[in-house]
Amino acid sequence: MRCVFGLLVAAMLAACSETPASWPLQAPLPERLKDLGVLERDGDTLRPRAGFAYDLAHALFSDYSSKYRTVHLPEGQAASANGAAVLQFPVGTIITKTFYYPVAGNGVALHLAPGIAGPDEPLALAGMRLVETRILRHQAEGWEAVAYLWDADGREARRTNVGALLDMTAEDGQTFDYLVPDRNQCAACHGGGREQRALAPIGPKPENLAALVWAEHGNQYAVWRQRSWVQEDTEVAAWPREPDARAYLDVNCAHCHRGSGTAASAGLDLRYDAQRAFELGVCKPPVAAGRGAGGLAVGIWPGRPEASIMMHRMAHTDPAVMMPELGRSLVHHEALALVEAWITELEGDCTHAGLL
Amino acid sequence: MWRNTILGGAWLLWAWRRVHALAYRGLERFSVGPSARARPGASGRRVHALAYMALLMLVACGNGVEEEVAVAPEDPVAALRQALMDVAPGGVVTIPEGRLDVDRGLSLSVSGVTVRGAGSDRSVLSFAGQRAGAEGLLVTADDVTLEGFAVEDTRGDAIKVSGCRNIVMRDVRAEWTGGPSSDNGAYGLYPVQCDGVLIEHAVAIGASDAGIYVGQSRDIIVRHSRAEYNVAGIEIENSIGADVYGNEVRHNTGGILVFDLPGLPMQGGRETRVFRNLVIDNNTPNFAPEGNIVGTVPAGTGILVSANRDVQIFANRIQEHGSASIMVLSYLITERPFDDPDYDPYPQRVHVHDNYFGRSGYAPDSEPLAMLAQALERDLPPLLWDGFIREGASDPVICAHDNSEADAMILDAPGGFADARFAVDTFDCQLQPLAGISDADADVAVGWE
Repeated sequence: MRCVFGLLVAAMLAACSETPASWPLQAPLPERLKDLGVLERDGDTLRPRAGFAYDLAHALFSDYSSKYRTVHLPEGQAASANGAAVLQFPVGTIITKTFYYPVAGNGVALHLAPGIAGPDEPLALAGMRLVETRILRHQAEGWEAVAYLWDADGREARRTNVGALLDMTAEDGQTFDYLVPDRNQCAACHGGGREQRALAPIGPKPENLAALVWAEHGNQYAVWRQRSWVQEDTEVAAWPREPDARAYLDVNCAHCHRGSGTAASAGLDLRYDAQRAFELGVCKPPVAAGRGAGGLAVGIWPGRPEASIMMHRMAHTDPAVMMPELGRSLVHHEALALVEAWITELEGDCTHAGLL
Repeated sequence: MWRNTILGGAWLLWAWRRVHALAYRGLERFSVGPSARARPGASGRRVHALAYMALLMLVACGNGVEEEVAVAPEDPVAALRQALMDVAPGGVVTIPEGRLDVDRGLSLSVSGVTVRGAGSDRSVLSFAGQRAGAEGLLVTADDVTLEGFAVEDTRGDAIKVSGCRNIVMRDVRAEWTGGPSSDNGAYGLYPVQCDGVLIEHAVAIGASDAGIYVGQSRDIIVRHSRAEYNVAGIEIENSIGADVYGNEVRHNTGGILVFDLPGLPMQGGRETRVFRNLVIDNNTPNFAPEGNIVGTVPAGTGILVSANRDVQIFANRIQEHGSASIMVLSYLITERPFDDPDYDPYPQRVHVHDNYFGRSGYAPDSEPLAMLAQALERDLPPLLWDGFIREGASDPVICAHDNSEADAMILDAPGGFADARFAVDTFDCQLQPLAGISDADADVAVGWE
């Protein structure tokens, strides 16, 4: 009996040391970011090793944090477009996104730091507070996502599976909660609905990459093609270079609000090229919005931003009301103005649309 | 009718016993619709073996993955969050007894997992101090069982299960502890876009929309559960195939709602059976946040069918409702715009039979209904239909028979309520019983008689 028990314990210990097939991760992500070998802190800069930096003209709002993004392709390989909404990256690719703020007064500045001037540009750390670096790694089993949380002096970043709520102070003294996502919260945006739960990158869309033009290097997407980081034979219809409401909604909302997204049950499609006005929210009544509806009858009332649920949800910070649901606790005032102007110019009337 | 009233007390006692007997039988005979029933035994055994292995591993390795050391053992919330992420498919995550204060939403995305507490009154996740997350617990995985815990006072929804196959919620409680308030979260137990839903022995209290809300799903059972002080007690929306039975639904604004709404990916809601429920005194003033569709439900509504098809309502006890025991409506009465070519705003083939109707229609919470009652100088009858009908429709909207009271009214909403009239003959028809989802006894003889 004792022998059997011993065997059982041995078997159990063996089970502990051995990760079950494809669960949770084939080769666990290292505890410290530097051991991942893709970003290195070099004096007052953070620079990619065997990779390059990129930027987005239209970016996800994350409480006014600035972001330094890098891609690390396996040697000799390239991403491909193949007409997909987001570039397809080969197995072995690592994508990083480092969230940081300019330090100001006793807190952080609530405005974006200037973007990088080119793909070889490191992140200059002087006067910056590093917060977290999020990783997407493409393994044979699919993409995995996790965040690394920087320590207070920005020297070391450690993996956190459970995320964190950080107490942040802005330069004007206002405090806010900054959310470092747990692994499931990564999936809330990077995963799809039930037919498509696997994680995938969201940001690197050809149209968005091509919307950025550097003074020295020219069009970012053209640079990717010149340097063979992407194989793409057809021309890309770049999004506008300037702030644009539809591009903003695509980048900030459409990862959930599309037919195969996690918010598919709401029936909205906020992708840049979505055509049906009703699916954009025009004259669309709320479904399961709860307090999110704010007493308003439709998602978008053309010409009437004050009567549009979209504005109401963007203008709030209550978790039960606000959109996006995750990743912000401040209002993005510039985006609110952008969407307000867009709705103001839409034509239509929801008073009796389609009734009887 | 008189006999029913006299027998009422005895019925209540019988029903109480019956519900409890069924409750325990139900535990053993659990099945979640055809997809679950069709699952071969071998795979079921494999799931069990996996679960057992995982349990051993949890015991042996703490949180399942040895290298995870970030969790301080004195922080049970962090430990729970970590366990929900590290649990292997088929594993078990245990919620300790007592009360945990959680400040941001929890989530589970691993299939085959059981999340188990010590009981819905003993393991409590309190979100009263919630700072982030649109719900308390979000599940995005298949074959998940949630049992034996409560989620209290979330900012938004309590437990949302989004896009799944086979979800079981058993002995779970979703509650806003401050009573009805439009500041409460919208939904208590909220599976959406799920194939195979079983909710049993659950409790939902205080939701500012629906306590138990199943949306855009298939093969649904909601049974032996209790919904109180919500705007809608139990709501089945844009779903196909549901059995709602043996529940106690009290003190909501509307008791049980079977709805279809436009503009949703899943249309064609149909085939819902609502039977052997106690639907009593749902007269709580509507406290839905302004603009919500359930904000249009008049207080004092027992069962409301809107724009749904093949709904069988039988052997329920429905009593003490100021507006109506049963209302059958078209979406058109909301006067809300819609632009959805796939949407059918008309109810059809609603079969209402063998129900006990207690007092109703004595304090209608709707201006046209109140004016009607005043004009008639009497309580409104238990069964009301708004009167919207598709031109050329051949199938009946409602067939009603063998209820404790035969009175019914057509409200003539299309004609501005000008020609409201009693309509017993209109509803004098028969419909085939639905096959149903559960193996519950659907013999009307076990109903209120």
